[in-house]
Amino acid sequence: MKILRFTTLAIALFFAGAASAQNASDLRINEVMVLNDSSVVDEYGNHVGWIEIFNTSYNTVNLSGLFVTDDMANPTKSMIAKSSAASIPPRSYFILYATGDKSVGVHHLTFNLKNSSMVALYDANGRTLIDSVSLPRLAANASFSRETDGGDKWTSKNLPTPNSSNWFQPFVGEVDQFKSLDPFGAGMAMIAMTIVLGALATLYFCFKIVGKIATRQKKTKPFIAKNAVTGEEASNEVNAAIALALFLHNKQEHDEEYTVLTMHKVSRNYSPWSSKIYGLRTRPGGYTSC
Amino acid sequence: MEQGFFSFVLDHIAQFFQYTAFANMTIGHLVMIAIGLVFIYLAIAKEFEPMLLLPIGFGILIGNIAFVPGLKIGIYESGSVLNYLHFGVLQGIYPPLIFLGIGAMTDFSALISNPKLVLVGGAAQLGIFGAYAIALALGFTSSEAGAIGIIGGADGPTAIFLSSKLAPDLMGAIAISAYSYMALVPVIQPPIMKLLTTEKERTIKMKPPRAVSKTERIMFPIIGLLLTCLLVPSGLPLLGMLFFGNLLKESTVTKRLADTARGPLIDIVTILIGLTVGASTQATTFLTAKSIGIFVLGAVSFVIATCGGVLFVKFFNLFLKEGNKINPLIGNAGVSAVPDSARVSEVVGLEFDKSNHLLMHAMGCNVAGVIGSAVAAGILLSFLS
Repeated sequence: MKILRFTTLAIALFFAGAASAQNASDLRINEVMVLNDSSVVDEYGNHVGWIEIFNTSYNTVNLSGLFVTDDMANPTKSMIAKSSAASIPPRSYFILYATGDKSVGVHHLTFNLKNSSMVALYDANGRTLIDSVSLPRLAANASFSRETDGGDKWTSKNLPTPNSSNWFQPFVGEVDQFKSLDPFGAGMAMIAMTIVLGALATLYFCFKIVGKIATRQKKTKPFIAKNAVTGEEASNEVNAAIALALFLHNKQEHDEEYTVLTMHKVSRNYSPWSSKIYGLRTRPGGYTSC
Repeated sequence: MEQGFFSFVLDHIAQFFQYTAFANMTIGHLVMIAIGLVFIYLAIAKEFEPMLLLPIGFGILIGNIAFVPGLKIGIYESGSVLNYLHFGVLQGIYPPLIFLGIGAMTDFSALISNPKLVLVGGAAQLGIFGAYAIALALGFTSSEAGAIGIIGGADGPTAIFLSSKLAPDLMGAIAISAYSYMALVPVIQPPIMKLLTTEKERTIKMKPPRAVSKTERIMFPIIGLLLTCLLVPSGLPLLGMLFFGNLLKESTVTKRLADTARGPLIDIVTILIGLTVGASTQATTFLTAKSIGIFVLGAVSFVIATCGGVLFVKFFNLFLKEGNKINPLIGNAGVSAVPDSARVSEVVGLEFDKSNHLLMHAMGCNVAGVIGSAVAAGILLSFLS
């Protein structure tokens, strides 16, 4: 009976262990960026190299206790910290930042990738290799990735896809499409100049018509001021005043301009005939009043 | 005890020195300070656009006093006073306010009396799209190329407005480039105008503009707004404010509002925009290869714009009767550098005929250029944002 119990327990433990091992073995190194200047930033805002792990299974897998290394002679170089945050949902991704700092969090490795020629993922026992990849020389912000998530073929990409499918086609916005369809700007120049000239031509035609109407009205409707005196009623004095006003206006001698009244000093040449001194009443000399 | 005290004093002096600009200065800061001083010199000694170059020049000095980051001093540091003032530039608030003032200042009579001049203002916008094409060829993105191209419109507020929307990173360089070349209009344009015109064309006498009624002047901003903005709604912030300011002026019943728009308001906004744009040229963000490319493209766009305006007038003259022809020397005024480019037309025109005053006609093209560049900015915004 004891033997039966022991055998059952051993079989159960074996399958449990096998299941766990099978889970970890479903993980794949999916994409690697060595030099990161402008790609994703870690939770501290730093640009560092990163490794994307992909869970190929339909179960959640926890990475706690697994090892990542860039040196096959040292498989336990960096252990992923034990945490519930180290779980990958089915068919999802997990980014490991190669910060080189031991104490910054579950997403961080204790080495950086600057001089790495390969990376490998080891099981929690530190001996079973789950996945590894040799890295080619990569340009800054380029990544080395599987063509499809978990697939066999690897390729270098200038447009990395961290935390998303490697099949992901980067979104090409309308502006980018504009450039791809009109690389020299000739289309833009034609369209925009047509619109600009069209808008201004509309304005031109509109004000040409407005101008014509305005000038025609001026010709047909003579300006008659309020309380104006018509010719028949006007006396000679009024006519003379109008004529003088028109004369001054035409000779530009009017001094009222845009509601600003200016006063000019009238200069007169001295003449003894108009001198006040001769007009003053003087006390007659030599005469005495009675 | 004494030794301890002296070491304490020396330590703190050394610590203080670390916080001074001398300790944090780089070659880039010194270069930018030199550029700022040149701007101030040009503004005061040469009177090149002093209202703009003086605040910008001084802003460059402010922006390039090196400091230890984190003290909420710099224009790019969130929460600093300069950062708050810069908000109006980044969000495109100041340019429409400036357009309100410009509208309240501008007399569109020259344009209304001879509406065909409005087309010259459209043709000169070729500079914008020429520079756009070259910028694309040099590897700038479409948005960046659009923001750089607007320098060819020769309109500072429009350049700031568009670059704040399309390429905020390049806004400092674009604004500085636009204002620099606007100040250099009297240097850049005359040789091109003389090169592209004949002796006979330069002495064409244009009809004096007719008197424009008050009704026409009131109708202009209303019709102008409806016609242009119904076609290009993205130009609303600029064109809406421009025409509104003009209506305040022409209606004559809102004199106080018009006086405020063309007086204290535009003065305050000019001070803020000039100073903050200048301060945004912090060496760490400004001195890049892109900035140099922007300066080169700015010059190219001004040349293309001037050529576009002058050549368009020559082409237009082929369809006009004798007596109605336009002097091609006003074609340069199609760029919206008001009133400098119109003044250039007058000066160059007088060189060849002492009695031929082109100023009023050129002002027509000039104000048309303001409308044209705002429409062009609206088009770029709608395509590239």
